Amino acid sequence: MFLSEPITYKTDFEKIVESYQEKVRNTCFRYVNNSEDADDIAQEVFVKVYESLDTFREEAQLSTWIYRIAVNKSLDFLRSKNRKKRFTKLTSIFQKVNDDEEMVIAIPVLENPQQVMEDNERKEVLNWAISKLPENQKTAIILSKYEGFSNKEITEIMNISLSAVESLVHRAKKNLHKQLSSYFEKHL
Amino acid sequence: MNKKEKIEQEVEKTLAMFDNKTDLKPNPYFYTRVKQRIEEKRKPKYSVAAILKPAFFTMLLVLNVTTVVWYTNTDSIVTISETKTELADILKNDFNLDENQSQSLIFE
Repeated sequence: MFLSEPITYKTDFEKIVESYQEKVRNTCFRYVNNSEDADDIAQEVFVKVYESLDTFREEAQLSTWIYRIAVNKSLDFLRSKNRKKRFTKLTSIFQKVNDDEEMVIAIPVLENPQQVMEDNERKEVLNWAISKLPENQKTAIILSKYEGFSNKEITEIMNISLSAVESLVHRAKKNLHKQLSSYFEKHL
Repeated sequence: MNKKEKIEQEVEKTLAMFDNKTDLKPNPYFYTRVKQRIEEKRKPKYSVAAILKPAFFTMLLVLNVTTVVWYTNTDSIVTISETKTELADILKNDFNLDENQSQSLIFE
């Protein structure tokens, strides 16, 4: 996951993109639930990496620094989107995820289609519940549960203490449980 | 199973989707697009404002300099004529000259 050799020059940039693009794209996707927006944000992340490579002091790991940029860019995107949303009519709680089949990886033929459909619906509900979390809880739970970072890695990305990360993850899980319970109480 | 238990079951099944996440398909053109964005940012942007701003400030500077020069010249003429008038008065008083005599000495 981490590049062990030091950054020598901007010729390393292609290697950096190659190494981190999938993880960055998917991290951004967890925030925005839209493949085009995720790609857009991820490209901006690497442009920022390119522009700032010269000033990167290697105080943190390269990966930590890149994911931090990805988190910040994703949150900026959501804030900007929310600002625009205030002036438009809210037509649906869910994002248009169902229609975007390109985001779904190849599904094994042996799987039960009914199960797959139920799982996709549950994923949408989960994404909706995550979108309702405060920013810090959202980030902590995405990095922890979706991207599989350890709490220690999350402290470096978010630049907060270990206890703060643990608290955020705990509160996020509690809030998710509350949101989902409320949702299923209305829809079951 | 009562409703509460059913809700709890659904909540747990939904939370389990964290382990069944959907990843984006790899994008083979991703690096190309990143490079394109970097190149676009490097290009100088010639906007109307970028051309007009220096032109405006240059014009403002020229106007200011012209105004100062004109004002300075106008003042010196007034000063000279005021000085001459004062001198004429001084000569008139000191040498008991009449108006015409003192003025003819200064304003010739």
